[in-house]
Amino acid sequence: MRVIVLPDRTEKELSGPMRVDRILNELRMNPETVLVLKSGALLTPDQKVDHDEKIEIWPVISGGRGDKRDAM
Amino acid sequence: MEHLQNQVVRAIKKFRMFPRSEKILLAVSGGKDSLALWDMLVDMGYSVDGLYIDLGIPEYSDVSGQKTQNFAESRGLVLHEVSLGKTYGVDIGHIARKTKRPSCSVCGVLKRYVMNMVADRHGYFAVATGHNLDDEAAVLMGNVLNWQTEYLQRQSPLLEAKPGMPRKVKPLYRLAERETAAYCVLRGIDYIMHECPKSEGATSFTHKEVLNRLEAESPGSKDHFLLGFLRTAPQLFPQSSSDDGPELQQCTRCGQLTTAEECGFCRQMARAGLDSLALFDSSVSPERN
Repeated sequence: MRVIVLPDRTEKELSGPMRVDRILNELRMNPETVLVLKSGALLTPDQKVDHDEKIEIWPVISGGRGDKRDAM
Repeated sequence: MEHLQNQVVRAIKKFRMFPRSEKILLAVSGGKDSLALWDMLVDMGYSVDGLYIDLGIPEYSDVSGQKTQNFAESRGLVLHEVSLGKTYGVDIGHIARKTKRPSCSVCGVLKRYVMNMVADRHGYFAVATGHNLDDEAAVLMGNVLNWQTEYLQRQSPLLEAKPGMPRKVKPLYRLAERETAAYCVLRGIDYIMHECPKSEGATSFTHKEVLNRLEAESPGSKDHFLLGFLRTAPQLFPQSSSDDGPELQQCTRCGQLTTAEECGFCRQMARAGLDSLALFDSSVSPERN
């Protein structure tokens, strides 16, 4: 399967079928830090991706806003 | 999606952030959190205008500004814009170099100042920001690691208004950033995914990484850490009459309230050789429909 990692659209190839949680494990990605999409739809950790399919991984972590003085 | 909106409703009600009848100013960056919050609040019937501060950062500010403008235009929403680049022809990095301070610190001073200025000038009831559960848990972790009790004492999703300073609220504090990103996907909101290049290496990333590792091992850790703190804080830091902080006076240059003769923003701009008052004059604020 083709895995496109955003925001830079880095491409990776993995053998399928494979569950989403396993894919993230293979790529050493923490599931808390990404979303996985297929054809624009969100995938859950237990969903399977076939060998001939393409998925996108979107990072969700943003930073630089941790101003302690303005905390909350 | 309903669950996400319910969490925001819960946050607003729990801290009595703002009533539906009041006008709110939302600081918008073009990122997932602020655009998701704008979309949710408008969808729930709140009257919310946006404030975008262009920091003039090459290859970043143009994109974030465009995403924000597109969002506002597509929904017919009011967007105030203040531009560092257009006003002074410099970016935030220039001020950081001149003042020998980190960009994120310079940015914090500027943003707080502009938010107060626009909210005060246009009579907004409160300024909302898109800080989420992960942001606030990371800040909490930093403050605990350094035992910054003064900052811990102030940590609340609601900061009350003072003369010249509007109330500050963080309605997303119950939502993880994975949830706000998912909300944007479900609602088809086009947001800037790239991080601000100036935030590279920020300690908040390290704190978030640690918290997310805990969360993966033990789901609910971030919730327990932050929401537990918020429940306990009133007992840890009981309010007293001396908690109001130092006495405030008007800045001799711009008139905003400050603890010193000149406010931090005016001092910062002066050190960078820039006229702080020019930013007032150049802000663009369209009329409400």
